[in-house]
Amino acid sequence: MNALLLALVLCGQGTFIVRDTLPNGLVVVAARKEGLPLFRALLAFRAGALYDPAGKAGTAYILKDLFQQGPEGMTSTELAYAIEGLGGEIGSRVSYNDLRISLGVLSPHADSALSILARVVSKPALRPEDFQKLKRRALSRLQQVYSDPNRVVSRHFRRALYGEHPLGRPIEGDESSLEALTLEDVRDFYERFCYPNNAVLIIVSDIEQSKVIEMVRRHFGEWAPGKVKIPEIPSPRPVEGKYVEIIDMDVNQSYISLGHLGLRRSDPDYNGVRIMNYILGGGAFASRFFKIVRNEKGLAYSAYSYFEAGSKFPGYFIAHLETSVDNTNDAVGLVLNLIRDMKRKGVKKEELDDARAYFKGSLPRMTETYDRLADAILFGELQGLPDMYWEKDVEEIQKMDVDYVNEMARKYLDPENFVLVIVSDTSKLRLEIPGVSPEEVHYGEIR
Amino acid sequence: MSTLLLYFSLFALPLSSLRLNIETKVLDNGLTVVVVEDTSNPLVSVQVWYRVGSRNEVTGLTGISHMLEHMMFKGTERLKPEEYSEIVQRNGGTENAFTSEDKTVYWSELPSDRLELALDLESDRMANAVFREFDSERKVVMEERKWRTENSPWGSLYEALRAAAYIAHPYHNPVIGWMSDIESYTLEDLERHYHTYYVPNNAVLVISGDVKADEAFKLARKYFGKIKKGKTPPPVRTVEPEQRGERRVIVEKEGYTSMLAIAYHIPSFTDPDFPALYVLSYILGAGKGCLLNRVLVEERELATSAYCFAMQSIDPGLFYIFAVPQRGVDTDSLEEAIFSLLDTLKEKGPGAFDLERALNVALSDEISGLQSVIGKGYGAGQFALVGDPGMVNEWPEKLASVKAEDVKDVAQKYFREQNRTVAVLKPIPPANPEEYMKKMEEGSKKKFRR
Repeated sequence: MNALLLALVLCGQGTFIVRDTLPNGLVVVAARKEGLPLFRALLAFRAGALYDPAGKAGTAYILKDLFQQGPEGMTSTELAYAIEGLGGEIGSRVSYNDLRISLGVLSPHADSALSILARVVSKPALRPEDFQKLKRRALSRLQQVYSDPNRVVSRHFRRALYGEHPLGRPIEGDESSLEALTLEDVRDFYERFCYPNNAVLIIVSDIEQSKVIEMVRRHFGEWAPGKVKIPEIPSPRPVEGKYVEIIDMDVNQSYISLGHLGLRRSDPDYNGVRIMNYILGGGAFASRFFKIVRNEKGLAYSAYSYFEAGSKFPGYFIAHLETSVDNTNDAVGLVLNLIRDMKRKGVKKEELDDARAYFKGSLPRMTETYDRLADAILFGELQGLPDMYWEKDVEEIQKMDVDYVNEMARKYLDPENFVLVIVSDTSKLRLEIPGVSPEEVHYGEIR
Repeated sequence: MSTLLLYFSLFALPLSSLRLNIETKVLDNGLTVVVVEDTSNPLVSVQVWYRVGSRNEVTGLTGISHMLEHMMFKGTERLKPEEYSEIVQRNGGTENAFTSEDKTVYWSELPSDRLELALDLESDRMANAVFREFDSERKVVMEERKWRTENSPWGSLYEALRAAAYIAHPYHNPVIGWMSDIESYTLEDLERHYHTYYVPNNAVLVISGDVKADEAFKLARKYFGKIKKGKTPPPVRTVEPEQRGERRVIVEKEGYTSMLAIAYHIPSFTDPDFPALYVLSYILGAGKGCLLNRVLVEERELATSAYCFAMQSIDPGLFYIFAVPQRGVDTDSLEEAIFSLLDTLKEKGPGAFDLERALNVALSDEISGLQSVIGKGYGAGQFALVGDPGMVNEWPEKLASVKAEDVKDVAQKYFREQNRTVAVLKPIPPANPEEYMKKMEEGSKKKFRR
């Protein structure tokens, strides 16, 4: 028996997951999915914007773009040609906790694709002229960010929630942090974190896993490991009291985000909180937010809540809505009441039954496409969840009762201590939040 | 060059292996039923495609197809408002609807053992919709319009561009409708629209996924067969007259970034020229290696982003090009750079690389679009709307057979100055900069006090 098959997991509908670790430390997870000639690869480094140097927010963000500018000996245009000639697409994304490069091609070209991907991640050119170009572009794009009320409200929400903690910095940076950023900072980030022993490679395709792993070994085997030291960062402090911030923009509606800290994805309570939030504001048509805010009052175009899946640190709870300026006070009041109500009275048996049925029935959709399956596997790897966690989650959810879900509401919702950030037209807005005097309201600049 | 060695042609891939397994039947009441069998996941998608959209709308009632789409979720004689969505969700499904220029589509995706439920719900609202909560839903649509258009720089520019490019044909109007029209629809307007267009003979039912065609047809007949055939809806009469000279529009909006949008009239997606135009849109605007990105963003650094697409419409559509200038670049220089790129294509046609790249990416997108049962149903549905769902299987071959000469021909034919509309978004700096700055300074002092 081949060593490759050390860990093999059956994953619904004939999809198998095979795991392997290369001698250089690269963790490989290959899943086979039949039906279409598609090949999806996701390579993620376990380090993201959380480790941007102080005052240099945007470091990891620029690095993820630099990867796409091509490896040594290849310009960005040559890289694009090489990949798109295979009918493929390369992308990169950065979060606070990871930086990932994705590559999708038609599966007859898998071998070439892996050869390109290996060069892209192990030998990025990091050319000064590319860096300058991307920096200029990032600065230019900030202007677009500043014109988009949704982006403005989410940036300010983070700052309000996390203050000076690294999680409060915008991933895309701001003007001063981008101006201060040098190629050395970016290179340093790469040299500290971007090694095979700090990375995971997910592959979903219609090709047999042992063949995939053989190709991966061939193309990634030479990539040298390095010493990775993950910096110690203290946990963010919970919100105490009510912090209200308003940002003036030329908009004819209010963009409202309210929230506080939540929990980690790996926390045993996470699935219970997920069910509770599904009923509160996460479950689209089934949620109380949607029914009341949208249907009964006609107050908003959009209203939802979620518990962000925290990785190293507890994530956050956020309730978000968009409403006309005139309805701002009513909408905020209503949302706070819904949260209070959930905390005090909890859920009804029928609501819980519906939520459980939803999670059970939606299981096949979670991994229906090659892209979704690859994302789901990577998410589990980064969060340290067991293989096929999506099935285990659903099993766990089926066993939950009303008392447990209500305990989650009492434990994780806090309608007294929160941050509330509103982007609105302040010439028309007369904000009245019970328990917050007008002098306590902060006025933020767009940044 | 190493890239050359890595370069392959897609045509090693047997396109025939991607054919959808499609069967079609027309019920006695005129409803076209299309079944796409696919057993790769235990899922099914049910879609109802109505041949009605903004192209069927008249002055004063623009956006009413979209308003009707919202009202279709307000229940039936037996269901309460939003109950349809709740039932689908409770069964682990997902659903939504969308309205475009040519169509209104309702779709759901559920575990395949819930097919009968989906057909029951969808047939019920084709025949028995009840329009409750009209005024509150009108407010929701008004908010949606603000979000999509008034508050969105792209939305505002896109709307102005289309309104200028079409002077007679209803594509002039935004799909969501003009605000004054949204404010003034009556319940009678909605009822009339519903009874005129939501008849089985003006619709296509698509069932795709883990089902047997015979069983699917049987169930379709059981639930939809009882609905009465309606009158044939009135045709769209207006034909857009030929454009005679460039048109230009300026949209002023408070903000920081200027934007550029250009449109050329092109024919319907059923026209023989369309595959070449579609490939042209990939040469110019899809992927990082496309001409717009390579030349304007990467090489000349005139734009932060640039892309294009060819509208796939029943009546003659538009070829759109959008670009955002880099800081310090004016829209005139960006425009010039785009025109010179188009001129090169008109003179020389695309390079062999550019064409192959575009074909590979386009075909790869087609295949990726087939990953879900929704995608498979969607592919069949859009061709069923114009007569033959099987055309979806010919589409990849049509794309693959486009030659450089075809692309050059359509570029020459349609990228003409007389056939062009240009819209520019001019950002307006804040009215009182001093006060603005002061406010910002005060704000920054307060920010992190909690």
